Amino acid sequence: MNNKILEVKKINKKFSNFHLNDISFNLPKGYIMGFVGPNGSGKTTTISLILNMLKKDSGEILLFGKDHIVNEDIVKNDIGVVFDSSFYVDSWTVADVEKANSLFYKEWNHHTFENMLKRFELPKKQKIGEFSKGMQMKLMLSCAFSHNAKLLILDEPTSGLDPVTRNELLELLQEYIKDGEKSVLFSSHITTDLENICDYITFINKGKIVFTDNMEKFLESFKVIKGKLKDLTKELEKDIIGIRKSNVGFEGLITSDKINKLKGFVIETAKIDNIIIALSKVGD
Amino acid sequence: MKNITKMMKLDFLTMKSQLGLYLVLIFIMAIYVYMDSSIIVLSITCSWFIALLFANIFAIQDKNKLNRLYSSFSIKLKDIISGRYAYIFLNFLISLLLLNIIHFIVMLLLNNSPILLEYCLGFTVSFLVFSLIIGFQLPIYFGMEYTKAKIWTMAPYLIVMSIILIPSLLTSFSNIMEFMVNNKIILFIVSYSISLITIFISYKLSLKTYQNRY
Repeated sequence: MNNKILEVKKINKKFSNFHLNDISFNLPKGYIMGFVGPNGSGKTTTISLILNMLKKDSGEILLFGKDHIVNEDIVKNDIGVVFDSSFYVDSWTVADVEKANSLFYKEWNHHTFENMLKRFELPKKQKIGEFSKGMQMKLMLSCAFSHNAKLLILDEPTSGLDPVTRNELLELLQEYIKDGEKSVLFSSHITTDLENICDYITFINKGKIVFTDNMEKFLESFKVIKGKLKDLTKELEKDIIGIRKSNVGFEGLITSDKINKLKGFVIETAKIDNIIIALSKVGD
Repeated sequence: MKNITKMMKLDFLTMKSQLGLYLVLIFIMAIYVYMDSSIIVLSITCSWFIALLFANIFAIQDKNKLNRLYSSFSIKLKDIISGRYAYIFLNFLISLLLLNIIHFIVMLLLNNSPILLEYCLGFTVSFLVFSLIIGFQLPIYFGMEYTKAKIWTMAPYLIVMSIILIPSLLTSFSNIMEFMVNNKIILFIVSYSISLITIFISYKLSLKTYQNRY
């Protein structure tokens, strides 16, 4: 049986000023995948292609083992989506939002929706246009959680949330995948969120996938290297990714396979931020 | 069919805040009926206003990024298009029906005898006008952002204004209309044929433009 909830295979999409190039990654059942990259790297475009909001030039996207266009109405019943800004009519109330969602989802659960509203303390009579960005985000999340979706696709869901709610969302996501049947594709700029909850990570830069595998491997693949300028040889400088020099020394990222031969340098465990910042500089 | 009905319900929900405008339109029509305006002229005017009013759904769609909402729902792209066409034409039919009922009642109250043929003519011509306007506008609205599309969708109105303002064009148009009125069977056949062909071509174009909207 296919264990993959989402399979993206060599998708391409050309715009006049941007090219999404041979994007491939898989999301297994029961895990959370962080989808990271700098602004304009192609995260939202990839998500739009997965949701068939954009027409791909080539490649294949499978959701639950089925083609995402041929079986669009079937597969989307099992997907919950949250974007970085609200997609509900601003004159609607929460009741209208529920009416709209319940029309399209077979397993819409009013009870779950009510619980989510209570949990997030969302007012029922206020118009959506009067909601703060954080409240709108919570409402989208409430809907995404209320129709028994097997895959959540979240595009920058934490961007409008305060730290407490962000933490609450992360807990919710962990709770959500607990049964091993559901998965989350989570695009975010706030990498500390990803570090805490993601099992897999896909890093995209300038329309190309730089890395896609499990988080442990991602973090183990790179180390932060620090040292004095006098110790920085030309050969070593070539190996260092995203090097930053100052009067006191240098700092950068190096692949883990190269650290054994190095002596007299400070080698530290890399964080997602270190890796992303350094890798984003490659090719600049 | 189920998904088309769902989309129509969603469109109704989307346009809920515009219901007041719709009622105003009906009220204005009722006043004109009372002033003894011709049902043919009223039907054409009504179709014109309904086309203007329901273009607002694209403004709401754009402003609130409803394309994202549609993309999250378990429906196919063609259901979104079919639902929108069905919703707009259903609104046209309901409006025309209401207009005809109001006209019929007022005629009876004013001791005038309503003429069935006039109602049929009014409906046929207004359906043609509505199909031509909407048929032209929808593929543009589906393919472009509302603000850009708005300029292009004014074309049908400009064409009609040109016909009215250029005397030679108006004469030719009047001649055609006179011929049609004198040959009602031909008028019905030609009008419905043009309307249905326009809707069909428009629907196909909308599917294409919506798919390639970015």
